[in-house]
Amino acid sequence: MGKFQLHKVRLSFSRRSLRHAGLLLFKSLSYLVLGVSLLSISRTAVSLSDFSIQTDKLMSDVWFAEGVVLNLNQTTDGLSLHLTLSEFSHQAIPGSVKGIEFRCAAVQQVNHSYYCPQGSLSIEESPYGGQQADVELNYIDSEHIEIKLDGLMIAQGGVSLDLKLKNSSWQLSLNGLDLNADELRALLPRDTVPMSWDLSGRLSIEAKLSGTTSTLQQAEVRTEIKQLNYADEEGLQVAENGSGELYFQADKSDRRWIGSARLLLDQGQYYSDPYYIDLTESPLHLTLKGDWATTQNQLHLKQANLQWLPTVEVQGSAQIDLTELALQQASIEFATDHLDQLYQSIIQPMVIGSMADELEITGGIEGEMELVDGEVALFRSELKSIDVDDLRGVFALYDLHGLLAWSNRENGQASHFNVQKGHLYQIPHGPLSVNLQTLPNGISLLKPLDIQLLGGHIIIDRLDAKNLFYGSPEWETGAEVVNLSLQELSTAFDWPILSGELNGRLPRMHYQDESLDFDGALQVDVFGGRIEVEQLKIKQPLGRVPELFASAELTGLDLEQITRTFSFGHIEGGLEGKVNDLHLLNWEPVAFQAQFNSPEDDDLPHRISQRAVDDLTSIGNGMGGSLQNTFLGIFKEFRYNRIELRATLDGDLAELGGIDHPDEGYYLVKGAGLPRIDVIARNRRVAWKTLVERLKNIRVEGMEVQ
Amino acid sequence: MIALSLAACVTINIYFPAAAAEEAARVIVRDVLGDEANPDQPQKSQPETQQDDDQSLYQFNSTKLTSAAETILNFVIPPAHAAQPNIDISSPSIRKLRASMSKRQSKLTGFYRSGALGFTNKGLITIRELKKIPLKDRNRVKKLVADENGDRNSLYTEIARANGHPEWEQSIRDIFARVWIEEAPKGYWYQNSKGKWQRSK
Repeated sequence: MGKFQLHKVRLSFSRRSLRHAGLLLFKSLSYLVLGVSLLSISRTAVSLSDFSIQTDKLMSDVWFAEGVVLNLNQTTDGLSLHLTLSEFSHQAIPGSVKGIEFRCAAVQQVNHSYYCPQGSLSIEESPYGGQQADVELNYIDSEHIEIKLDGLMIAQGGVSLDLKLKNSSWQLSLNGLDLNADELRALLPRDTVPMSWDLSGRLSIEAKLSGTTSTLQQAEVRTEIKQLNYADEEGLQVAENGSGELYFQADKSDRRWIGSARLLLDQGQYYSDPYYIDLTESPLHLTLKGDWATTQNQLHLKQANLQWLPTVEVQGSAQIDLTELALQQASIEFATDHLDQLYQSIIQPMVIGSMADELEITGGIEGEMELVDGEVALFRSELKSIDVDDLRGVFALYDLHGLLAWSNRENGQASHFNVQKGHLYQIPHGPLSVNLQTLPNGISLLKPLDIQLLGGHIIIDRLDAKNLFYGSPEWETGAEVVNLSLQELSTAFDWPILSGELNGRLPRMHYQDESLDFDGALQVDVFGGRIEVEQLKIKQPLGRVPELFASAELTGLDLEQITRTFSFGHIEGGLEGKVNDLHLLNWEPVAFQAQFNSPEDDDLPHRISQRAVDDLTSIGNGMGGSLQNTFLGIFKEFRYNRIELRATLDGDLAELGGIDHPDEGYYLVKGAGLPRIDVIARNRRVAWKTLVERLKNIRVEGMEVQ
Repeated sequence: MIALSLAACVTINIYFPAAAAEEAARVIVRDVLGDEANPDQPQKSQPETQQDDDQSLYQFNSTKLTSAAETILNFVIPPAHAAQPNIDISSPSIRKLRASMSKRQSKLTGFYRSGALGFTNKGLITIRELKKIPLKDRNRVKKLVADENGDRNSLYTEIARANGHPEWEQSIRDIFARVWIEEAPKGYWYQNSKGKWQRSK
């Protein structure tokens, strides 16, 4: 029996570019085990019964082995092989592997091939823990080697692999069963899943990889995901109890990978700030086809298709710079008949804090969108039977059809849509036909807009809006108000029924800095006369606390019609007046200077009923009916000379006045003839709140004055 | 002449009524927090408005017959008090904002207690730990926070405006920021003046 030992042998291998050095680990080992040893034996000492090589170090540019001992023994069953390495490291492995031992009790030799059907590999320590694996090794020749490993435990899961090396090509089949996602993360390239994230889940992987020399040429990977949970530090990216499948395949052509991927997520809840989806009842399907240019690190998605919920479908293409993680260009086609789900999942989270965050939307859209450098460049969508209800009660639009188009290019896009009906606050309106031009940051009307409401029309003859999408919104419009019925207006607001019409010309309404200014005047033809409203201005019309400023002049009003409308007793006579500097806060008055009085040359008879006097005094003292307790109670009506009321409101304080009285106080009603009755007020400064409360307490035909 | 001119110059300073503003803030904060409000804080009574509704102040003058042919009906709405330095928190818009905040409070309480939400040192609220909010509730809570902050911002503006001094808004906000924290129930999180989160004890 001869013995052959080598001490402190240093071998060096020619330098190669090993981009996929992990795969070549096996090839290197096989060469180490067989290529070096057996070839040496076969060439030099095939007749030897025992053979041993021992060396301190073996190395190449990419791997390093230490304490290598190889023993070959000729037994009655054939040749046995025993290889140990005290330590092995490779640039593809994040750490060294220690205590490696490979045994093959019976190496079968056929011609120049060697076959180990039942070898065993044990590793004491590695980045993947200690390992015990069954090995099947087939050394056909130096250019054709097959290795199967079974029973590896990686990331708490069972892993087996089958590697075939032939000439310069290789194939690797890898199966991982029930791998722990958290531990698997350590084996992935750094920052694929940041170590700061909480991560758990079980993965089963089937991978088929092939290539030539050191280059991966084909990959086909199928991954089954179960009980996936992840969360970043801030909770912006979260999955809970997710499950699904990921499949991708890719072939390399020149410097480009061409392939496809399919993702099915069929369980779990996912949150990617600000979006949340629950896939429990409706799975998400994503399919991608495209190529990846490795030199530029650019991903070109030629076809992407997303299906989620029975009726949400999105498809498109995109160009993505993976180095910068920037979307350079994308074309997206979308369609859904369930805008409600799209609004809840995608739109509403983006607009929280705006007026659009509390809508109820149903209907469908179908259209396309283009993005350039991450920003929307073109949007075009058909609008199909859409109903929009603002849950704050500000507006509603029903049965909306049309086309909405927008582009960030200078040329405007024509849009049009029709609405069957809707309402603004409590005021319902009829059909609308809107034709407008959308500009990069605004819109303008292409045709006058005729809004049918309250039995009349508001005709918007122009509308130019700027800074709608960025900057401070500003718009200007002009309108004509034609024959709006006060009866319908009062019905809409649940007021006492008024008769008359509202007309006016508002040549310019301008909105900027949350303030709506009106030029022109509104004429309200009511109570036989006219109220002309001017200097109208509304601040924050859709805000939490809207403010209105206006002045009004009243001419030729008929008190008989007014009192009949409000059932405030019965007063005959004319009335005129003015309200200056009216200021409403949240639609309630906080300031004004008002005067109402009988006209100097009033031709109408001046009569006031007992009930009107009672109502007037009940406003004053909270109790009516005082007149009935006097002998004047037998008179139903009185004549009066003049009615006058002046009021200045400033916050909660109202300063009242009327016709001067010789003593203190002032006349509100100055009587005439016999029996004569005067209503005289004594206090000039009164609490506005109290006055309003008493007005509210006057019953008007079964309702309260609001 | 110069001395005369100087003597003729009169400067009128309108000082911010900090004590009254703090009492007003405490009334509102306790009203909004309801039973949750920190009971350890000193209770101070605060009339909600200078122009109160005390019916005893009304002068009811019965109809007075001055002669058989003439009746004078007194229009006797009570005179308002002479104005005193105070903070009025009774305007309709303020009442509306308070009601809106009170109604919302019960939806926020659990998230305050869990530490998901906290009081900022600017008189607002914020999401301090998103992870403590269940995924399905996150956008609902974001909207609650946006709505609450909208109401709070409007409240500070309206109190300043209702009291005739829009320029007081920042001072009122500062006082509210402090009072929200002082009244914060045990276990609520708040930002101290340096922006560091602390838990109310």
